[in-house]
Amino acid sequence: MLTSSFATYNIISTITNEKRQDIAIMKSLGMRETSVRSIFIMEAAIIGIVGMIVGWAIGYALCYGWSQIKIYNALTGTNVPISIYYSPLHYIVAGGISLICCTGAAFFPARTATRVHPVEIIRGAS
Amino acid sequence: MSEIALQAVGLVRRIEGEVSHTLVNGIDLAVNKGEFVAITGPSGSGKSSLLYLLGLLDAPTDGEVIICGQPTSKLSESDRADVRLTKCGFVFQFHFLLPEFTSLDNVLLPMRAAGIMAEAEMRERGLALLDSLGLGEHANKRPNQLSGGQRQRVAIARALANRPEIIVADEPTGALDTASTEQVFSILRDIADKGQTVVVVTHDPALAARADRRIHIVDGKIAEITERGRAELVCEAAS
Repeated sequence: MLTSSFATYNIISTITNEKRQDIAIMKSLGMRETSVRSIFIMEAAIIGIVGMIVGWAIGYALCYGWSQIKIYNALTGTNVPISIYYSPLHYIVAGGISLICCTGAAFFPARTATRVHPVEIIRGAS
Repeated sequence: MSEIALQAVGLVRRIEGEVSHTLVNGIDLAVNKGEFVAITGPSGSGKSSLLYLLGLLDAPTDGEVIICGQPTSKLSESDRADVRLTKCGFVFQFHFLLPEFTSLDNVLLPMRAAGIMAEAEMRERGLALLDSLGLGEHANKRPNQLSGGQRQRVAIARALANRPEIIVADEPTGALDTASTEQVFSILRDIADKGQTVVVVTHDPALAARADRRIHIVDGKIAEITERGRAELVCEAAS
């Protein structure tokens, strides 16, 4: 979670840095800071949703693979598969936490970027 | 008596630091509704700083900007953004269009931010604006597919999107060739003639000469105001 949060933080930091001029334009036109910020948080949320779906698929595949491994039970003298308990709740909780981490990690660089003073950027570009 | 669209009262903008610098130094100014005002002055005189204060892009150190009767010095940053969105339209020296957006999407941006109109109504207005500026066939082109003059006209269309009372333009022809400059001049003059207030910062004496009033700024202060009668403008247009 920490690694993915850092990755999201870095991605959004890079994007907002590249989009400083666009942020200044949007602010100069009268868009509120919260509206501009929400664009980047939405972007992070989309990254998070894609990551969540891929994570679910990989998680399910790993669990399925794990369940195919058989271990010897000395009490019964048979090989039995590892028991995996599948619950949608696990997927929802894991997905929800990763989504919160993703959007949370994006909030801080987005907030810093949208606090930019449009005049500074406009003057700099002129 | 003419209705005042934009007023500055004792406007001061000072940058504090190790060496403090006064950009705008006690300017009093009233711009009437439908008036075309040109702000001129040498580089570093504070004309762009004054324009940014008048357009609420920057906050004064002291003094007040009154837009359509509404004092703005005590407004929060969000409220100032709302005033910019609904009452001011900006045109800069560079078009500052969003590169990933088409011309139409750029024009729709302020309307979408305001959220007053339905999507179909916004698109209709956006297309009508582009059409009125001779860009109807370029609505779906991105800025990199347009010439400098066309980009600037899209920027003007974007500035007009929310039917603002005031159009604020900072060197709108500074990066254009002669033909495009003439087009932009005519559009701005036309906007003022239709009743919207236009305040332009310019180095171009030809544009300043076509304004109703020319305000010359030196060292952050008004050095000279030159007024031109409407009659003179009508005679010039007729000839």
